[in-house]
Amino acid sequence: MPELPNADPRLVGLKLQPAALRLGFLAAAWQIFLLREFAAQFYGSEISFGFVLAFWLLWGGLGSRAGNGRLLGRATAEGCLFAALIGAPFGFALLRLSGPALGLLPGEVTGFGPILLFAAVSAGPMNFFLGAAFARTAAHRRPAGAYLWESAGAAAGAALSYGFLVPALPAGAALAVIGVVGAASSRLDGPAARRRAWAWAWVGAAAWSLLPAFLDAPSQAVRWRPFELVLTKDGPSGRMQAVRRADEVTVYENGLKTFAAADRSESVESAGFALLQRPRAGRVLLLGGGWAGLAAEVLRYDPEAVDIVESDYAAVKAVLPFLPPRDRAALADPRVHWTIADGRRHLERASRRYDFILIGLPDPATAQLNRFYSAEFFRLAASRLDPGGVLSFRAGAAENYIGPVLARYLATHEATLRTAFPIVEIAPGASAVFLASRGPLTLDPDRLAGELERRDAATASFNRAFLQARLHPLRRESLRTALSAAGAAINSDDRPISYFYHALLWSAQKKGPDAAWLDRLASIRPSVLLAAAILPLLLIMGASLLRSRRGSRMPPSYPFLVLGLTTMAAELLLMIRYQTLHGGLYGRVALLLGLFMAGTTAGAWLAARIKAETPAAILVPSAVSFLLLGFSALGWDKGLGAAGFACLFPVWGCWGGFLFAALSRACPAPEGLSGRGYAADLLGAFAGSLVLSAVLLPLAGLDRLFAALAAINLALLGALALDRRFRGV
Amino acid sequence: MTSFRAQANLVRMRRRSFLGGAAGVGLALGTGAGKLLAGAWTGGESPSPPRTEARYYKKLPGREVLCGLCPRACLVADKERGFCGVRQNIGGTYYSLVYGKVCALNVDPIEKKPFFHVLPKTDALSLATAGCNFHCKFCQNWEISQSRPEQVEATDLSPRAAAEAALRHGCPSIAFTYSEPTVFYEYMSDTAAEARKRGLKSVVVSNGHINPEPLRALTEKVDAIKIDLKAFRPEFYRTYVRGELDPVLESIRIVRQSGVWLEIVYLVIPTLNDGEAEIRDMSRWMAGEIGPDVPVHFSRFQPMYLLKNLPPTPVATLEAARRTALAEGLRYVYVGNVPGHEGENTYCPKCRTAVIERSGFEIRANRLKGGACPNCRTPIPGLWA
Repeated sequence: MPELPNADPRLVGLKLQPAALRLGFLAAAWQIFLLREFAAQFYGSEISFGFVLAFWLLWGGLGSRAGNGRLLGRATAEGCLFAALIGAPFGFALLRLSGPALGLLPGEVTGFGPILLFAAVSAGPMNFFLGAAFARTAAHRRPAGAYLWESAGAAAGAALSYGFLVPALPAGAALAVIGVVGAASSRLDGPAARRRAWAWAWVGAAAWSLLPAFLDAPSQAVRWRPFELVLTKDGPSGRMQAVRRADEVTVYENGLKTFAAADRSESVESAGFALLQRPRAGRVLLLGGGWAGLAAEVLRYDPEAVDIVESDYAAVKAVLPFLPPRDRAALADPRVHWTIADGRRHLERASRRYDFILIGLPDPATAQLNRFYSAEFFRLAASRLDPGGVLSFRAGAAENYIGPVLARYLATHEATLRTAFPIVEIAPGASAVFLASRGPLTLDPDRLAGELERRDAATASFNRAFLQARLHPLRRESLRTALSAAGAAINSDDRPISYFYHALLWSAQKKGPDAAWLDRLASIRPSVLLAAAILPLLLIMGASLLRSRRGSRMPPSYPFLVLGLTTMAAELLLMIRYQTLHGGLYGRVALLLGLFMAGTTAGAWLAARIKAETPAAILVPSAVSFLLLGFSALGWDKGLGAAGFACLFPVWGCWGGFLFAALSRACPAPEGLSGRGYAADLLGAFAGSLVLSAVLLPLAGLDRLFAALAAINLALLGALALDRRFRGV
Repeated sequence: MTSFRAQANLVRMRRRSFLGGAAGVGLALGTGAGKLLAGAWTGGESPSPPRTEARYYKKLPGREVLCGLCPRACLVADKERGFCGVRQNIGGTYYSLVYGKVCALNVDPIEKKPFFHVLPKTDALSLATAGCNFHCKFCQNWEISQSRPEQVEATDLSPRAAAEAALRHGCPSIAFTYSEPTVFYEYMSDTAAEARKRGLKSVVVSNGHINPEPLRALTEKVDAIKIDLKAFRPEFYRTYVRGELDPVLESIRIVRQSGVWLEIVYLVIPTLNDGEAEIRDMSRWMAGEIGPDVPVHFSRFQPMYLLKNLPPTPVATLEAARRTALAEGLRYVYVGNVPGHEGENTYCPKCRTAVIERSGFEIRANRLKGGACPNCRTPIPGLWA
């Protein structure tokens, strides 16, 4: 067993470090609101989340490096923190004004390029200086202790966000509170004149931090001008907005249109194509969209009962006054019952079976939505339907031409449905309506029109002429041919490929190079992608080992790199899996982050307490991570309940905190470079979040990624055992 | 042809610009699907028309060519393509790359085009190739209009086969639609000729961005043209569709003068072209220069393509536009994409009888007698049989 070098006694200690505590608080709280703001500005896609998180970490790492170098001159930790407080409103304003800055019209979509750009620049003003402040704080204190107290601050920031800021305040006001807390908690020391100057500086920073609160409503109004923004509400699941033009209201959730009073066609078609499949409507379940016109359309078919399931009733309730009277009346119908729950959870617990399940949600533009289009979900839905029951949803398509990218997306929906239902039909159109059942289905326009007329349910837009045009044999044949030529995949909880294909489709509209890159990546085998992602890490480890063999005494950075990558990747993957299994991630992201950071604090504390000065202090945690990753790769974590699964977050946090502290002692950085390990940790996390969320997650799937991480940690274990620099503790 | 040079929009298309435009959507994956479609469309016949020399261009020194089809007047070097991406200079000769290369083919009610005064309650065999000479942010068919021929799945459908397919599907007309028919001018022209031989009508759904000479020649071959007037401000054309307004207005004049049936669609996009003054100016110009009998459709914007999150047009806005146009003297003004709205009906301009009642694609009543109002005998202009 190799021995570790002697630990630097300076690195052991638990004395309170208020500066690190404050830095952690600011970092976690700002990060949560930056992610939420990005979701609101860029349609809530986890791909954009990965970008934001990645650049957040990159800026932190760069700041940490700069804090160790000469770039920031003689700036103190307090000075860096002051700069971060001044920079935060700039980051907020940058995001809020991204639309006008890009010359986008209200409601105009943008590609990955601008998202990447704003992810890169918006985090900079805050986290670069936070990283620098951390480095300068740690330079004169104890890095392990600083890490511990930074983690504790982060846990506090996440808890405050989860418990108060997210549910109670608009984004701008929440950011103002965070900034004021950051400024007010600053320490004053040194000579009287210096203290006075800093007192005024902190007062100024606090006042400046109020800016987002004042900018909040006007900046949203600017984004929608010349439409009238009549409602904006930040809630746990995102931002609900309503805009009005000529007395007609359109509702948006995280920038995506969810309801337009001027256009009911999607609700009309979703209800019509499904409910005409059977002679009576019976019991109908609406997962999403119930309030947005779907319930009113379903009621035209005289069902026995309509169950509407919504996960964020507060947001929906805010919108209800703006709905047309017909929709409001439908929601008050005695046959309509509301359930406030996650749609999947509701189905899992449902004791009664349904005749129809209509999914009224947007396309799987996010991993959050993808869980309602997966094979697992379809199997669950099939088990809750009567034998002849029908599942239906709509997906964005094209009326006149189905291109290869769109065909692959639609074919994947069809193939996934077929894993649970023997019969699947697709009504072509600008919105393709998917129907699935274990009983017969028909898209014969004459039969559907006959049924429509028998039930006296024909309308101006949904009638015999419409059905004959929409379901013309030539149009159906074109769709069939396009889909049969497309390479379909199965969309699953673990491999959310529909979400990736939707991103590809979205990207193709912009015709930028990103669409071609994503398309090429999609054609590469996942195992090759994973190998390509792992190889650079192995090379870095190998090169470092070689230096060790040649007698280098420079402490290695690769353990920190792998540590950062593993903690960030595990955190992200666990969040995605939590979302898939239990739902409601957006409302609980702060809680889970808080649990993780609390675990990190405990781990760092534990490392300091037990005087981990043997190789086992590093090797054992490395082996533990391998076991934990293997546990998830085998899918055993799926058997844990929501609470049990949430416990994995502090466990992982504890592992990361312990190992960071242990590594900091085992690899003491040279004087003046105490943020070096922290920087490597952040850079590893940057790489992990960027590569994982954007590409590898949907293409390789969760199980494979956990397995790949396990392999990386096994390699780390081997490298640590062989590295001469860890001998002789 | 020398007049092309005098036009302002001389665009020199070089390899670099071609490559820039081609980046993005992956290449088409082969012709398997297309061949299957060909079977469905043509009953098995799938001839392969050769690359066809383009019409309306001028050869220049140095193997350059000057395209004369549309007002862009692309100056195209050897091996390069025009703005539309479907016409290429090969060794100093300009070719259409989409002759007979049909990528979309459907049977649609003619009301969907929309033509409200042409063969009501009939179907039109509707077809398109890749390409467009505009770049609209709200395009409904962006996957084909903003693509090059090699980026879409297409099949070969000769003009004769297209005409026969229309007959087989019971369509009395062929509609050139979805993308911009101007860019497949040669194919459209020849197909219209084949259709006429078989007693079929040809209708064109165009943005009107075409030069006078080819347009006049086209009016000899087709029966009806619908022009999308996308706005009545040049800035809108430059900003949102990358085109020019004046040539479109000139096309409307030419079609009207030719005697070919003309209808105008004005897609009302909230906040972008729905101002009352703009609608009034357009209506006044239509009534004064084109004539009050040309139908004008104020269509509701359905969020599409890059503007898919823009709110749809409120019905009140469409109604206001219709009132404005009627007040300016236009006689046949419709509200489009609002099924069941009274503005879908055709009213006799004299006695206000609803001579054709529509609800979406459904014709609820057609009371025309010999193309005239059954009540007061006022002729209602159109191609009714």
